[in-house]
Amino acid sequence: MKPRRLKLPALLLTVALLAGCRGRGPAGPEAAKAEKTEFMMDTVITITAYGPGAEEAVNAALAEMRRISALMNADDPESEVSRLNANAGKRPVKVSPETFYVLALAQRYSELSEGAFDVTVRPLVKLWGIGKKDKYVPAEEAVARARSLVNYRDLVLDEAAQTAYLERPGMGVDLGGVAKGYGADRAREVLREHGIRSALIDAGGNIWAIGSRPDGRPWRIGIRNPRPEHGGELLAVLPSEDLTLVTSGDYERYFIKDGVRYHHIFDPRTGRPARRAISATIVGQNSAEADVLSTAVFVLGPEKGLALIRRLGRLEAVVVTPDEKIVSTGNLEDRLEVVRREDGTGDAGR
Amino acid sequence: MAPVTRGDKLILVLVLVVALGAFGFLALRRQAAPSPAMAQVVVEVDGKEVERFPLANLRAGERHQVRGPLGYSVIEGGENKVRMVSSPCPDKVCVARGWISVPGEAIVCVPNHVVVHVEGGAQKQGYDALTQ
Repeated sequence: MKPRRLKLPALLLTVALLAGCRGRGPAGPEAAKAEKTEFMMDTVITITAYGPGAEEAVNAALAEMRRISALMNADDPESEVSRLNANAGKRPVKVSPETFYVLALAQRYSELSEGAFDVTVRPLVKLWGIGKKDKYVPAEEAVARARSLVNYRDLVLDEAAQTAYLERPGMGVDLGGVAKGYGADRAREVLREHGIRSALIDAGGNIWAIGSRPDGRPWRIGIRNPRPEHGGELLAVLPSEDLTLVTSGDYERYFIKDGVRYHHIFDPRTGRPARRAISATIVGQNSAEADVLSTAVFVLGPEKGLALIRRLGRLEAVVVTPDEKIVSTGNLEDRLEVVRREDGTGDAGR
Repeated sequence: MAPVTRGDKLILVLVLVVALGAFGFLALRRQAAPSPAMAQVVVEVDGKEVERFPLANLRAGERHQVRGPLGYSVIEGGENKVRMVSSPCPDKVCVARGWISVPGEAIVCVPNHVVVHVEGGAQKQGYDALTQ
């Protein structure tokens, strides 16, 4: 008699497994599809487009991103940003309209976030070298010195002359927190000019969900769980149409030394990795703006960060706090499907 | 002892089916490598993650030291791949493992408690793209 009671769970388990297998097939009708991946901007860019002319559109969009990358990559000595940095304290540098636009946008948000995001953060990025140096924690004096060279107010932008100038030697602009977003915005424009109505841009985790899926349903954009060992790889899913989502997390580039996690998002005011959040996602319609704000909200933390987003309007945000609580702006609460498992176990697929 | 009933046999068969099914399912998952684009290198010591970075960011020849109970294990990057290049362990099984690059592959150094594995990014499960 006992065995009979045990049969049901076993059957259910089998059915669940079979269902899992069936779910692996490709979803939706196969419209003309083009997908390409390219390494640039210190990350990986994948563009997927559907509809007539998709392949040509994807190639053109990637070419546009390559162009933007060449202008704004501070690690490329030939870039406009490198020339601006090399001339810090010396002379203003003429830049392209694209670079000028991104510098102006980055400076505006540096001010709006009261320096939580600072476009002149490069001295700190270089000092720590997260992901480049081997578990290096700089001395207090070195941090203080680098921090004193970070101040967005000392970036002088001359709209009429289209020049940019850093006032003190040793200063440096880093567009790592905005160029990917801007590149994705440009790529989206190119796709639209090619008549593409359904596409996904994944610029190193910055997502542009263009239109809807080829089957007409909204794109489903996952937000990564910053601590996959607690509840699996996925935190939540947001059904998205014509939306961009950008996340800053402390898990992207980091090392752990003496039990302390050192990651790549610095609080310019302390010169050290920011500690008020472990992940911040911005949802909006301008990826450059969302890119900057994901850093700003990450640094500001849930209260001040979400207050900034509410003040700006038209944007939404999801923050994961250091104790792994999910906090979001009001409009998202109904739309966001939280899928993080609450059983405290890791991802079964690992 | 109670005799083996038909129910018991049925359960046995079901458990076997489930086990084999799960095995096959996981094997399939491993094979169906997602785009290597977002692959991450994860380094663990004693089961704790100590380092994680995109495989694509690892430059050829770039080396990272990982401290285990025996001393430093050293991993080295190649073109979109990673290997253990030296280890304080006596058997050097980890070094002999060679390059790994596909999500799901791992280098395990049992003596020094170091595991290096490649993790897939978006597995396309219930979502179309992942913001991270």
